[in-house]
This record gives sequence, structure tokens and C-alpha cells, in this order.
Amino acid sequence: MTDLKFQCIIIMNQVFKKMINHIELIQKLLQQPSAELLRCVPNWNIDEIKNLNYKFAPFKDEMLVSQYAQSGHDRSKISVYNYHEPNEMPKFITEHVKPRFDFLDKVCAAFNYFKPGQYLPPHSDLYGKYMQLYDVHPKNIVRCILMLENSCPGQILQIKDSTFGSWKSGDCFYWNYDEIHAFYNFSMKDRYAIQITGVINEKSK
Amino acid sequence: MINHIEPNWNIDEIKNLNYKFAPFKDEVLVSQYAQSGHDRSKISVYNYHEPSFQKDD
Repeated sequence: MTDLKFQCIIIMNQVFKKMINHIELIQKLLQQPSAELLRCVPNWNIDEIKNLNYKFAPFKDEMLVSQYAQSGHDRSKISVYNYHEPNEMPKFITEHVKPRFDFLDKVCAAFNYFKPGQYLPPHSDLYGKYMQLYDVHPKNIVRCILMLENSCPGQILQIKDSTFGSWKSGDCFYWNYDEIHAFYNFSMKDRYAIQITGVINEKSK
Repeated sequence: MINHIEPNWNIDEIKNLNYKFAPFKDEVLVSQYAQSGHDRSKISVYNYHEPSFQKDD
């Protein structure tokens, strides 16, 4: 009888833990953007995107890069290739992508890609040029990464405590201004994305 | 399946083991990664293992 009671307590404990996990999951989902903000239906020519005039861009936080380099990282790999305004943007940015971000003001788009072996380890974005151009308080900035191709094994995105290793073309990932995030391209393929920056507008607050 | 073992070890003892540098042994795969842009020397690990342990990964 004592054994039976003990087993019942264990089972109840397991059920209780599962319920807690379920509640936590729902809470987490409610804090995230709604599903329609999590995906942008692909409507772009990937070859056009791959042919943009990208520039090699080492990460600009020199102190952080030095810390990573001193701990053993290869400084040259802590970088990305990007293509941004005022360069001319492909038509689909104004016609298809920016309209989806109508909950943001001062929307700015940039393309980036990571070659195999390139990565940006955990960091906060600096928004130097964006703040200079738009005169916004950094606390109101939201950033989104819109993936332009399906992921392949080894491509990894981290945002705060969450890690993503799989996505479909058109999937969007968000973070607020200084939230820690990282991207690693441990695959054998380049990873292309659009980086959207904006501030939440009044009607969406 | 075991998901967690209560920590009961001295991490300094572990850090002081005589580790050897071990490049990944699948040379064909490493070459593919290197050709796509990865740094070959980073595709590696340090390990310390039992004499009888045949390490394949």
C-alpha cells in the first residue's frame, strides 16, 4: 500500500510538472508576436539578392571583438556581408516586404549574408547609423531577421535563451533593441536574410 | 533515458586532465567544410579518453 501511495505521488508530481510546463509555454507564446508577424510569404528572386553588391563588414563593437579574439576566436570570422540603404533596394522590398511591417515606423531594410564559417557571436546591436538617421531612442527599436531561404544543417540563430536551427524561407525572428543574439553559419552554404529595423508605432502600442 | 545527473565532480580536476588535440577524423567531410570556407584547424576538439576506448567521432 505504501508503495502504491508512493507511485501515485510520483505520477501526480509528473502530471503537475507537465501542467506547469504547458502553462509556461502558453505564457511564452503570448509574449511573442502573433503568427502573421512570424512569416512573410516568399515573393523574391533569390538570384537577384545574391547578385547585390555586398560589402564585407567586421562587427563594429571593437572591444567585444577583441574579447572574443583574446579568448581564442578568429577575428576575421566575426563578420558578415551586407548591402543596405541608401543603395538601391530591389523592388520587392517596397512592394512586398515593407508593407508587412506596418506596425513599425521608420522602417529600414538591409540585406546580409554569412559565408560558411562566418558568425556573429552573442552581442547586442549598436544601431549607430540608424539612430543617427532617424533620431530615435534606442529603447524603442525593434529588429527583425527575415530568412530568404530554407535553413540547412549548421545554420544557427540564437535570441536570448532560445536557439533556432531550422526555418523556412519567409520566417521572421524578432528582438528588442539590446537583446543578446547571435548567428553562426556552420553549414556549407551561404545564409541570406533581410534585416528590418524600425520603431513600434503609436497605433500598435 | 537519463536527462540529468546531479553534479558531483571537481571541475578543476577535469580541466587539468591531459587532453590531446583531435582534428575530426572524417577527412572527406572536413575537406568539404574547408572548401566551403571553414577554417580546417577549428574543426577539432580536445579529448582525454580511456586506453581501450575506440573513438570514432
